[in-house]
Amino acid sequence: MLTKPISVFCYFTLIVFVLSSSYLFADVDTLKRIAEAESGTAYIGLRLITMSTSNGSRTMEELVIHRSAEESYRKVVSIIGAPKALAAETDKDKKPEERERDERSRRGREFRWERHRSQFSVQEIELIAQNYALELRHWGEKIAGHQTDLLIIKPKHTGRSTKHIYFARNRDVILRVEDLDAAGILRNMFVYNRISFEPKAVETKWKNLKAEIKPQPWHNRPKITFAEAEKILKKKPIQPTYLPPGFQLAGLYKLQIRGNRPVRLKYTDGLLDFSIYETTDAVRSENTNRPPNRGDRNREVPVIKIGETSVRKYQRGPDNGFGWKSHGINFFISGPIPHSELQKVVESIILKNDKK
Amino acid sequence: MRHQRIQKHLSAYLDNELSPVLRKKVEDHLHSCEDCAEMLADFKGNRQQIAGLVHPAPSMKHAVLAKIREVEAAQRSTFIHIFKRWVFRPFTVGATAFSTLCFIFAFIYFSSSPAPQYDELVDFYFGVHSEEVANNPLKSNVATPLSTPATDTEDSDEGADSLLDIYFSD
Repeated sequence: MLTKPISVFCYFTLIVFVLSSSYLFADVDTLKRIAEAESGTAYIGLRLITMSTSNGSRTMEELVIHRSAEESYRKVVSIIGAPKALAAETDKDKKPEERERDERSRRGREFRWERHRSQFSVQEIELIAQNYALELRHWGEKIAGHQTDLLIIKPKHTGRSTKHIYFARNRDVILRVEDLDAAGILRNMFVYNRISFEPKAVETKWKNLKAEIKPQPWHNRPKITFAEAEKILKKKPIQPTYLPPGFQLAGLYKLQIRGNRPVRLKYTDGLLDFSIYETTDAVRSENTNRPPNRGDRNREVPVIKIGETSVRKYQRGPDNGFGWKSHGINFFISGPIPHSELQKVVESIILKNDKK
Repeated sequence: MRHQRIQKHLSAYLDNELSPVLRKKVEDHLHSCEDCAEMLADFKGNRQQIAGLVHPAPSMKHAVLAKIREVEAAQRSTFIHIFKRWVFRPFTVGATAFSTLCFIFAFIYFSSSPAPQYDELVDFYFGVHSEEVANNPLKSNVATPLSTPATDTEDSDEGADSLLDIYFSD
């Protein structure tokens, strides 16, 4: 008599577990499918992009041609409306001709084909599954004529962003993305107005555009090992003892900016990245000799003290940063993480270094 | 016939080009023949006249040459001439070639790999990240809520209010 209710309970638990796990894994699988489609499916399209930063909101139209992971390009074709300079403080000192020159230079950078790199590793997808709750909704609305589903990526930790991915139900290609900041405000969005997956159309456009697109060499930023990083820095790269919850080291990369060879330690929680840059090569004076017309760069940089070390505090667009020098290494940390969190990482490096 | 033969040799006689034997014969004949002696005197007179005419030519030549030398000397003393002579000395050519090479190498070295300015490095670091995010729809860069640079009030409504104020003040 007693065995029957227990068996029923066990079977019930097993069924619930199987159903719930398959439901959870289905969402991770969806993300994997989307990542695969983003590199493997050929398409051409026109999309609308809106970005909001503390320097204002901008909307633009962009052409995208995606033939393969290697042959994927985008180009801004029109900017809708004038850039809204919210940061009036940074702009007010500029002369009209300086503003005009900045605008010309910005437009020059934007109205050209840029290589569109879509790199998303399995490790990062697994990290997203750990640090974010994935929810698949059969949305059913059409975007650019294609039936879509919605994948919501919600953070499990406070102070992180939320992502809404609307993708074509039958092809898994992303048609619309919304990025919401920690306060729930929509900050970045893109949506395709037109998209074609017709191989013939892609090939025809590619043939026409091939001459116009001057492939720029990808920045050579190879992944390196700790031993190689040590060789470059002539000392062991310093790692923080504190990391924001859910973040892991994604890799070390070799960079080059003229005579300087910094090493980049990239940390990620899957969706958000921050990086620590270390260099022992020469860096010229911190006092700039550039003309004072380059946006918020020339605003006075606040300096804070951590122990005996002076640390410069930066903010550039959505990214925050800190820069300092200790024990012969020039450090820089940056990422779209609140200053308070980044500062904890900085403190852990400085205190670790001071103990040595 | 004898007169004619002697008269043929008169010019050579005056130029002292005759053999001693022939010269003796001519002299013997001149002593005895007034016509031939007169002809010799004519020859001598002509020669003197011609010599008188030819005499200024060498002095003109000297004058012209002297003038040329004078002009050349004047030219030599000019700055360009001195500079040219200095530049084309073997030592100067070598030194110039060496310093030109040094300049080219220094230019290549300093223009290609000088240490970057600190703010240039900061731009580069920010750029590395934003470039990666801009190209990857599965990444995000908007965790930090909006704040104005002036207020820098993260995690508060004050920042949002000031943003709206800027828009509504338009």
